[in-house]
Amino acid sequence: VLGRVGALLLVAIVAFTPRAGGAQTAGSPLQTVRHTLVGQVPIVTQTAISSHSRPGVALMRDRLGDVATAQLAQRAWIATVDVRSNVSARLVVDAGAPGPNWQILDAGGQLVSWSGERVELSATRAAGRYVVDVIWIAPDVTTPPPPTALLRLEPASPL
Amino acid sequence: VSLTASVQLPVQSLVQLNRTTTDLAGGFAASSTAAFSMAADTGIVIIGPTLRAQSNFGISVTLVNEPVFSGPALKSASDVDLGLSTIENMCTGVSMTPLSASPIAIQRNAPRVLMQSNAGMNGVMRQLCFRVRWIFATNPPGTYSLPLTINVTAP
Repeated sequence: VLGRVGALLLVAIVAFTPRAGGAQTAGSPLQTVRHTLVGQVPIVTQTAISSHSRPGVALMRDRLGDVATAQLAQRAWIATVDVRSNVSARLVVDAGAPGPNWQILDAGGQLVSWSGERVELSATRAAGRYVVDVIWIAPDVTTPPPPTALLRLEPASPL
Repeated sequence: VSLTASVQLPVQSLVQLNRTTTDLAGGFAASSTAAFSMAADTGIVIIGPTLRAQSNFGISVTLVNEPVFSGPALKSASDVDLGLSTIENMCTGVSMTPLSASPIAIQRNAPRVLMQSNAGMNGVMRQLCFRVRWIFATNPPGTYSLPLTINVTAP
């Protein structure tokens, strides 16, 4: 009988023994695991021409002043360029082979000969997403839009 | 003769992640512009670490995070969404919500629950899924890092 009583007492003691966790302060962690998200961000500059269109005379005069004429507008192409960059950058057209007698409106608002040399098309702008209009003047009214692959963003300063 | 053996089992729990860092390039090359561009457009889904828990009593597994990344510019933790999947290495279609941008002291009042059970568990798994958004205007080149802290507590 004593043995059975002792056993019952022992079982009761086990049943009411508080868990080790119960000794902890409420809310204090039993375990902590750490993890880190890491991202290596490169310089990202992207350009894409979203549309080509013929500018009207009014727009040409707005951009070129009195030099703009209806005849000039008929030869012109305006490209809408979507620009995305995570650094300050300017839009340039690189050296290439555009064909004879093309002109292009540079960052200073001047029509310059697009003779295949690099031309700056915009001032340096802060990082972000924006749109730049580029105006080309074709040799004649029947010339199609210029090739698009020569446009690029040039970071303002090497990082 | 009656003999009774008794054992007092200690409280035991173990929560593990299968790695200590997650690359937010999401499997692209670290220097890839494609990952950044995609993340800027739609966010890029990244398979995070696998969380496994075993315990002989009920536990809660919760997460708090630094409110901002450390890096070359201020980047909010809310630019990263977190979701949980019950399928390992699978994050497709997982519902996600942004990480908190509140100070950790405030997050601790209501931390994000990753796993909770009133009973013991044996090897329960949760796949952590992230969706990161990079922003052209405010995320210049450099290395960004965001520490996460996962706590195991008794409910």
